[in-house]
Amino acid sequence: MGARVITVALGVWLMVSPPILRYPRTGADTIDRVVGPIVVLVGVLALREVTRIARYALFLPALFLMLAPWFLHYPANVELANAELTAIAITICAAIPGRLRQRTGGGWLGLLNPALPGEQLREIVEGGPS
Amino acid sequence: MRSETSSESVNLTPRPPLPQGEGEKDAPPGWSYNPSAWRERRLLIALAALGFCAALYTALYQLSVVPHLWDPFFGAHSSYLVTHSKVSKILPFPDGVLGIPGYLGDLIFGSLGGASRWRTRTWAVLAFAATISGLATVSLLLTITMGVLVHSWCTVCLVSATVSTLIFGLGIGEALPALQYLKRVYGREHTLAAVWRALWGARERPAREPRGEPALS
Repeated sequence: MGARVITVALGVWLMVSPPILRYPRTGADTIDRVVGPIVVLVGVLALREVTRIARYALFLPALFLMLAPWFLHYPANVELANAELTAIAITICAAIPGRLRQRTGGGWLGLLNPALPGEQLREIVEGGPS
Repeated sequence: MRSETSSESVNLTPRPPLPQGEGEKDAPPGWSYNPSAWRERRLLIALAALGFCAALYTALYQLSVVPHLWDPFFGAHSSYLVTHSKVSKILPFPDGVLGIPGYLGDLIFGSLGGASRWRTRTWAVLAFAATISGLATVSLLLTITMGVLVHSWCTVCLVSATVSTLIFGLGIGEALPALQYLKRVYGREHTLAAVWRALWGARERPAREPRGEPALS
């Protein structure tokens, strides 16, 4: 849960960092203000164990944030450093699974698995992992 | 990847009985808690009520019924720029009005049914999931719009966006047991008609389902 709270904080940081770091109005502030709310939304989604799998979706905005400076040629080092460091922090938080204690009947991936929830579900109910 | 994907490996060691809290006896098969229990839904309903108030206030301001929009952080001018921007006028009515039916839907669909509603009122659970997903998407787009196109912020709008994001993140999990239930019904009956009946809460007859979840009649 701590990693998810940090993720949400990083998303908020992206939204507020352009005025705090005094970005000029270039592509960098736009990218931060687009990626920030997405990171917040996905971070909140991954807060609960049942939707913790959403943390994998954070790799995408983090990758985008990481690569954007090289395509958009950010004019100053502060914008580049902010984007790269925040992207690395989001990636690290997304890689941490956190404590998973609840069982959720096979989870979201179980919906895609044709073997679930027939016989396998019964076995899960009787005492297997979620 | 840990237990969210570990459903394929099955441990046959018996587990100790789960603590039976409020609504836990109605927990879906394979779940260690009941996402439809009132304990899980109370906060979501309270948040929806808060979001409804924020949306109503914003809409009344946009419709000039209320003269001022309270904004202690960004100021009245910043709020005005957001609530009267070109983006807010894309629809035939102010965008704040959209939130009123949205949060009202959250309140209604979130309140319907008891602790076993993932099975008895599956449609309400899925309608709730659709409503909160829609609101979260719209809030995300409006937040991005505030920062990227309008370059101004509005406290009440941000409160509304935060509320809908929280409801989505904390509430969407209830859709999972409902979808699992429909999948089980399809796996057993192999007809979409049975799934359709289950969606609307058709009564079931006792049969092969584990833990007292009977087959569809």
